[in-house]
Formats: sequence, C-alpha cells, structure tokens
Amino acid sequence: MGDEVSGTGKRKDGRRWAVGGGWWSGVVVFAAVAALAAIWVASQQREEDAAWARIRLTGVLRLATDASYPPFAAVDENGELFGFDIDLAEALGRRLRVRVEFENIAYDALLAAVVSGRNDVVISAFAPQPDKLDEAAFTRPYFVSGTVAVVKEEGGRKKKEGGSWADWARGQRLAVEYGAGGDVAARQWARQLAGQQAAGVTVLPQPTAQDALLTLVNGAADAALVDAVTAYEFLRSQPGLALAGPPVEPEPYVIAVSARSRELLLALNRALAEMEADGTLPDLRAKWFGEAAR
Amino acid sequence: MLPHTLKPAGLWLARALLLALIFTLIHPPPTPSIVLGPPQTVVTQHPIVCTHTRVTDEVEAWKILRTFEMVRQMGAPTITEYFPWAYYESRRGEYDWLHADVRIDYARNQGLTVIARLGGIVPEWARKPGDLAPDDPQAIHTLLPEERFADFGEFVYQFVRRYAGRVRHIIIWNEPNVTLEWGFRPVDPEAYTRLLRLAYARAKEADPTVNVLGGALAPTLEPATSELALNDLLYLERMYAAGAGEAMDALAVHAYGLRFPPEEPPANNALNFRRVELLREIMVRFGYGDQPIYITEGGWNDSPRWTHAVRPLARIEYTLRAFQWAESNWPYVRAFCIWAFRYPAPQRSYGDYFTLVTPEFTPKPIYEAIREWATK
Repeated sequence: MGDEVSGTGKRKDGRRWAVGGGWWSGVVVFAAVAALAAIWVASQQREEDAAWARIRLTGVLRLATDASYPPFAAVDENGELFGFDIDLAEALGRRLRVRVEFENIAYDALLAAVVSGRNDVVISAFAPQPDKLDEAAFTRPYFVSGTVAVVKEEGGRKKKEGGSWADWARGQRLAVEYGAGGDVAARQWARQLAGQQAAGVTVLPQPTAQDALLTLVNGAADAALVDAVTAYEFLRSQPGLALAGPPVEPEPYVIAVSARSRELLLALNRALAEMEADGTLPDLRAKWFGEAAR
Repeated sequence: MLPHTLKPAGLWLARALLLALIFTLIHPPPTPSIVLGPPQTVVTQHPIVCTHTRVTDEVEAWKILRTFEMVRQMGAPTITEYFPWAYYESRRGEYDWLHADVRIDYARNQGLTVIARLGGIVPEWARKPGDLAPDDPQAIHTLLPEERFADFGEFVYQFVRRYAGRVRHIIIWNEPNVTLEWGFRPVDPEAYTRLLRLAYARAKEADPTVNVLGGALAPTLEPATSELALNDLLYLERMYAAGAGEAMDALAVHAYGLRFPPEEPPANNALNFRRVELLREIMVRFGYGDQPIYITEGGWNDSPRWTHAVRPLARIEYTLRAFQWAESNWPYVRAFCIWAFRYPAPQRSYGDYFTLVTPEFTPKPIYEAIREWATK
C-alpha cells in the first residue's frame, strides 16, 4: 500500500490521496478524524473554560486573598479589605465587567483554593511556583518585589549600568538587613571579590531593613540592599534616594488560576497588558508604593 | 518504501538513529561520578545540632556530596533524610537502592549519622484499596490501606537489613496526624500504632540494634472533629493507649517556633517550640520517660510574606537560643534537626525561607551563625 502514495500527495495513477479503497474512504477517515478532534477540542474547552463560562454567566469573579500583608491586602478596623491587591482586583473586575467577591484565606491554602475550584483567582502578592504548573497557571507579573539596591541620587554610589551586580558593588560599603536576601547577596559578592586585587565589598549588617536604609542616609554606607516593599515605603518619605537599578533578586507577583482555566488566564493577561499600557497599573503601583514603583 | 524525494533525508535520519542506538547500547548506564575522599569527622562543640537534608530528589551526585560537606562544616553530626517507599520498590518485591546507597555512603563519608525517614510516598501498586483505579483521586500517594501494612513492613525489613550497621535510626511514617499524610482519610492513631508495631517488629528482625522512632507528629491544635488533622497531644495519648510505647525506642518530634521565641512557655492551646515539653509529659505519664526524643524537624521561618514568620535577625537569634535551651533544659533530647538544609530547586514560596543554604549552595547568614556557634 505504501507504494500507492507519493511524497507529492498524488497517487502514481494521478488520483489524489486515496487510502485503502476508493476516494470516499479517505474522505470518511478525514471526516472522522476531524470530527473526533473537534469533539476532543470542544470537550477540552468545556472542561478548561468551566470557570470562565460560569464567571460570564453569573458576572461574579470569586477571588482568594490572604489579607495579612499590607500594603498588598489587609483588613481595616471596620472589617473591610484594603490594599494594592484589592484595588487591582476591583480594576480588573471593571475591565472584565464582573463583580469581584473576595474571600480572605490563609496564605498556605491559596493555591488549593483555585485548584479545587472554590475560588477563580488568587491575587495576594503571590509568586509563581514552577513545580505547581500541572495544577495551576500564572499570569504575567503585575508587581516585581525582591531585593533592591538603594543609593543616594547626588554624590552617592552610581547606578548599575551593565556588568554584574558584584562589579557594581566593588569597593562599596553595603548596608543590609542581617540575614535577609540582601545580606546573602552582599556576602556572596564579597566572597567572589575576595581573591581579587581590586577592592572588595564591605558588608554592614543591620538589625532591620529600616536601619540599613538609615545607615545609607547617614553616610555610613554607599548603598542599602533591602526588600523592595520596605525600600519603596522609605523612598516616599526620603527625597534624594533612588534605586540603583532593577531588583537584584526579582520576585514577580502574579495572579494564579487553575491550570484548567485557560480562557480566564488569557482574559486576565489581556487585561493586565491593557492596564500596563494605559497607565492604570503604574498609577496603582504609584498610589500604594510611591513613584519609584511606578 | 520511502517517497523518492525524501530518500536522502530519510537515509541520513536512519543512519543517525542507528548511531544513536549503537551509542546507547555501548555506553554504560549513568553511575555516580564522584570518587569519595578519605572519611571525614564532624568537629562540633554542640552535638545536638542536626538538620533535615532534602537530597531525596537531588539528581547530581556532586550536589549530594556538597550538601553533606556543608552540613559537616556547619558542625552538625546528624541529619534526617527522607527515603520514600515508592522510590525503591516501584514494583512489588523489586528493589532499586542506587540512590539510597549514594546518599548513605556519602553521608557516612562525611562523618554524619543518618536518621532515615521511611514511608511517605506509597508505591502505586500498594495504595489502591479494593478496586480503585490508579488515577482515582482517592488513590493518592500517601494512601496506605491497612491490608498493605505488611508490604510496608517488608520494605522496612529490606531497608534495615541492607543498611544494618550504617543506619541506626529510622522514623516510621511522617505526620500521620494530618489527613494529607494519611491518604486523605480521617487520621487514626490506633491504625498508625498497628503500622508502627508491625514495622518495629520487622525492623528488629532485620537488625536488633536499630532504633525505631515513631510519631513525627505535626504540631497542630485541630480538634477531633477536624477534617484536616488531629491535635498532636491528643494523637500521642491515643498512640500510647493503643500500645505504641512498646513499638518505639524513641519519639520523633516536630518543633516549630512560629512567631514565638524559644523560651515562650508551653500551653495546651499554643503552638511554640516548647510544645516538646507537653509531648514529653505524655511520654512520662504512660511510663516511657526513659526513652529519648529526637527533634527531626523544627525551627523558624523568615519569609516576609508568611504570617507565621519572623524577621531574619529573630530567626537567627531564636534558632541559636533554641539549641541552647534544648541543651540546657532537655537532657532527653538527642538531636534538634533544623528544617531544612537546602532544596534542590527554589519553591518560590515561603518554604524557601526555612532553608540554611540556597539551591546554588550559597550559605545564608543563619548557616554561618550556626557554624560559628557549633564549631568555635
């Protein structure tokens, strides 16, 4: 039978794509395969889109958040949720034309809430977890946290322009929060540069991130390596300071959905991209974290 | 026959496949590429220091060795390490010990005492009660039906026999007071005790000198009506009432401080580091005060995102003070193992903030603080 089919898609006798019996059998096979594929795709879509279909039907987006992490999400004295994540959720709801119902859930249980179908999305300063991709999916980042380097704008340590962070840190006094990510990074740079003839790094551990930033302000350090949220808060009240560059160790925050919620994921990604482009998202970041986070 | 126009490409493809096949056939299977150096000794001033390593899923041999080198250099003479049943007996009666051999040999080469945590992941062939399909959600990886207890006992026997003289401590199961660890069934202290008694007998049959640790309960305040877990104090009482004391040489304990300093007094309605003392009271009350305790998991977390975490400075101070507290006040505690030494890859969650070393082997300041305290 193999002799009957050429690489050009024609039989040697000139007839097209005959398999087995007459031409009609090819059509039947093709139609059957197409029908099966359509049924499979439809069934997949029905399964994957169940959450999205229900959201469109009811007009309600069921959101899980752990409201214990201000300024992302917290509970005020009246029991109302507030914070950047809450504002973001409301803005997304308006864009998707749905009402957002919030549920306050412990951080440990957030992912299970969407995997089980109890909630549709998690918006809760949540970092993507690569080992959970078989059960969850994650949007593009809407905020980048992690460790950042803060410097003085005038007469202070230069901003990072190319090269590695270890090169940038060479010869500098770096104030860090003892034991935190900035401390780990600074000690690592110090070890890397220790064997070289050029100046190394002086690490100045401080009890808190605030203390590290004050060490910079007081002139006892050339830069402070602290977590982004603390840095943004500090920069709002301390003019003359700036970030030295992008986060040293970025930690993106994303929206989590069930791995089955493909349509919902697409809709959220579209909305986030639009909000980034039209300034909605930068404005929200600036509102809660200051201009440095815009 | 191949289409005429595809012949040259097809021939090259066939040749390439043939070469690949020959290469595969003559190339030896992957084996650990590390040549161990002379045996090392742990230098420490505080032999209570221990850590739960997590090289169970570590693929590269050098990373396993590097992990144990760093543990030794930290001044910890003991590790807890996890040996999931399914990894070694994926088909009933057929054992593949290669990865376990590597871990135990490397740990011993670094002078480390291994506390082997057995159980956890049940082989698929053993986890199906009745006629459940393998993909049935009820057939989850921690589900061990009672009719399969004897199969787990056989695994314990094989493990202990193989490592007799090299592994002197084993833990039977992990956190059986949590439904997730008990096959998503209601937790059952009496059933766990039956499992423990069976495993104890098989372990002693293989090596009468091996120390069998039971319990390893999750600290929790969940009441008996909870679908998630059962209060560890209530669970332990029911274990002893069911005869668990005769099936243990020591109790394994998990001791997490959460947001409290290590000196925080214990209370029945509180979770803190000194909850160990409440578990100890139960041991004594049931007449097993002569048995020691091994804290096989514990410590503090310094995630900025987790509500049960503390700042990094507090984590370091609390950890060192906890070692000192245990040394000074708990003569029955043989080891305090910090969860966890390192993960093979980042979890991208608060769990990363339990570790002492990053996946890239960069030591965190807490590692250096423990090393400084333990070795100087």
